[in-house]
Amino acid sequence: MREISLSKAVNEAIAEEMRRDPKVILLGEDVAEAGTPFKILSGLVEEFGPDRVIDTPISEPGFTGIAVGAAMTGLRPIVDLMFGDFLFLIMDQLCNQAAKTHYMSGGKLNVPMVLRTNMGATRRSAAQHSQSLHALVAHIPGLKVCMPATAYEAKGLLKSAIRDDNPVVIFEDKMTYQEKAHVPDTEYLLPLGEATVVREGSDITLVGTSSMVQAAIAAAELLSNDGISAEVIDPRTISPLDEETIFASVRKTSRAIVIDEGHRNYGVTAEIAARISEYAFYYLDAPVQRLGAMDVPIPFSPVLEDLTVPTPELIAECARKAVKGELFRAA
Amino acid sequence: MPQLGMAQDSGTILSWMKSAGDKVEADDVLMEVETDKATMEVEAGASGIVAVLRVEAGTEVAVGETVAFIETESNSSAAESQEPAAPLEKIGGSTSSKTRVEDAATTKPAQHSQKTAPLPSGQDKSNAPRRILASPKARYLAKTMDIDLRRLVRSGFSEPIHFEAVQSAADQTSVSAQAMLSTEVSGLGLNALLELAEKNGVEIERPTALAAFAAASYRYAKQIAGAVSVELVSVVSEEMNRQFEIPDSAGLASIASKSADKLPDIFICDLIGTRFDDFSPGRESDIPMLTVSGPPSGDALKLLLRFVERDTPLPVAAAFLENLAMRLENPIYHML
Repeated sequence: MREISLSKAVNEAIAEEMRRDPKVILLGEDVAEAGTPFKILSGLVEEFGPDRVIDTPISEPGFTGIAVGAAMTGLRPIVDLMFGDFLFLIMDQLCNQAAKTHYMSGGKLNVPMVLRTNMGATRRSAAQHSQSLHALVAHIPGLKVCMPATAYEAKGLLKSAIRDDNPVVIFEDKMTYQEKAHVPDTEYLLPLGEATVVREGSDITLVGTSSMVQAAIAAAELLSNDGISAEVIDPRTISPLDEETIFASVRKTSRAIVIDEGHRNYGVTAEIAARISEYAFYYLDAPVQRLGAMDVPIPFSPVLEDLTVPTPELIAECARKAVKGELFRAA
Repeated sequence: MPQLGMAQDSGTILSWMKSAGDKVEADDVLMEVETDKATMEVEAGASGIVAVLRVEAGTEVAVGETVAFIETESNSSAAESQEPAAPLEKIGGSTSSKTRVEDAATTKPAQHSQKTAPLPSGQDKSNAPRRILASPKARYLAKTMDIDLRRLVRSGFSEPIHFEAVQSAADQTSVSAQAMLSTEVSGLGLNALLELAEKNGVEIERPTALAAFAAASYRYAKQIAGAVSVELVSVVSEEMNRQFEIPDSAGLASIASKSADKLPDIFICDLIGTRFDDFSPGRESDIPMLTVSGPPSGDALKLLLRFVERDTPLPVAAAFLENLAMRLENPIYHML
């Protein structure tokens, strides 16, 4: 099977859906000729023209609001938000309008829009361009949230998101745009709300999101040298969350670490860890651990920035502690 | 003597503000204490009547030692409340301190004076057993299997206790926990049978007959058909241990000793005529073991069955022993 980069997979997904459905449009800053700073959308304006691939002024609330309205009146807009950090600018359009319109119109209106944005640190982009803010969005009922870990997932989830009648937010880790994976030539969709077991194991469950799936896989490799068998779960979407796949794994392994690049405080790791503790409590043989971005503004200094992100070594160290049965903290 | 400073291990009572018999309120100053750092007024911490001042003013007292008793007003009887031995909790940033008072309403004065100083605040859990640290999975298994986590800690497992530790204890418990059931039965019937056989030139030893009867009763109790293997355990010599493969038919004629190539279904230890009345094998086994004991005459027999309930539930064991007793008392049943 061919291998393509995540950025190419996203481009393909959008192009295929735009060919399939004339209602699909694309808008955002620098999406047309420039093809975004990451060159993800290059070539689309040439194929679909400036009426469907729309360069907007630098006003995130403006173009997100336009997309919400367009979705309510029959189009299927894909919004490109250049950096996930800009989510703060569009909170009202996304969380108050898009997320609630279907509910508040008594089901008469749908908002079938997709908001693509990014996340992830270690690109030396400093505190305002390095955040992973998916937890903010996942907190809001009415929004679906996808976190693809590979090119394969990015394409399959995006195509499903475009066809979904609800607002869907997709977070791509900017450090994975050039990472390649096997992606079929033929069309495929990945359902929203279905996790995948990336690697089977029996001693500990590592639940990773987005690029932390790769970190978890690398940690599992390290652990296998110590005779510890780690199972890696990729939820793919955090809202809806496929809890059952996670619980089934924890019932088997009795131990779990949740890894996500958002800040640890009140974050995605806390939510998933709490659900494990609540619903798989009697299967737990060790406390559920959480690994996330350090609770600091992401530093610009490369040395310091690297310290804020969970690494395979850190994951492996936490896993060994759990498997050994060390005392964590006796309250 | 309350601990008034972090590194303080004793204090000198400079003066008592109250005398024995005085009425005292909890926030009244009871005594003035000098430490190596400062001189402080210490409040009574309990309201009542000062019953005893145990230490004279000017004396240096170790932290934790009881210096006075206050009889609380809530107790009309002679019950007392123990005083400043309890440590102090500082209130805000003020220099005043407050004693925490143990309510000793149920403690008799005599016992009271022997009591050592109570533990510092927060550690005083009185008689409540300490909660053993264990994972939810371990605790759940322990509860299901009725295993006391404290036993695991005593036997050397370190905390926190994990699933594996409880499981190993559970495995041991289920193997080693042998149940016992016993009964007494007349041996006259069996004696008569053996005599009759001898008169007719048929050679049957009592152990062989026991093995045959036990095999039949085993089949009956377990509701199975086919051969049953019985091993006779000798107290004289291991070489005298014999294993019988007893086919599924009545009678005693077709019984032959076989080489012990597999584990038997039942062990029988014949202690009749010896001075012993019971034998329990040291090794753990889930194979039922029957000991038969009694006087050399064989007139009265005691049957004792050891079994593991997991493999041999009590009703099965009871049916076995009841059926065997019936056969021994009236061997004619065995011929039917």
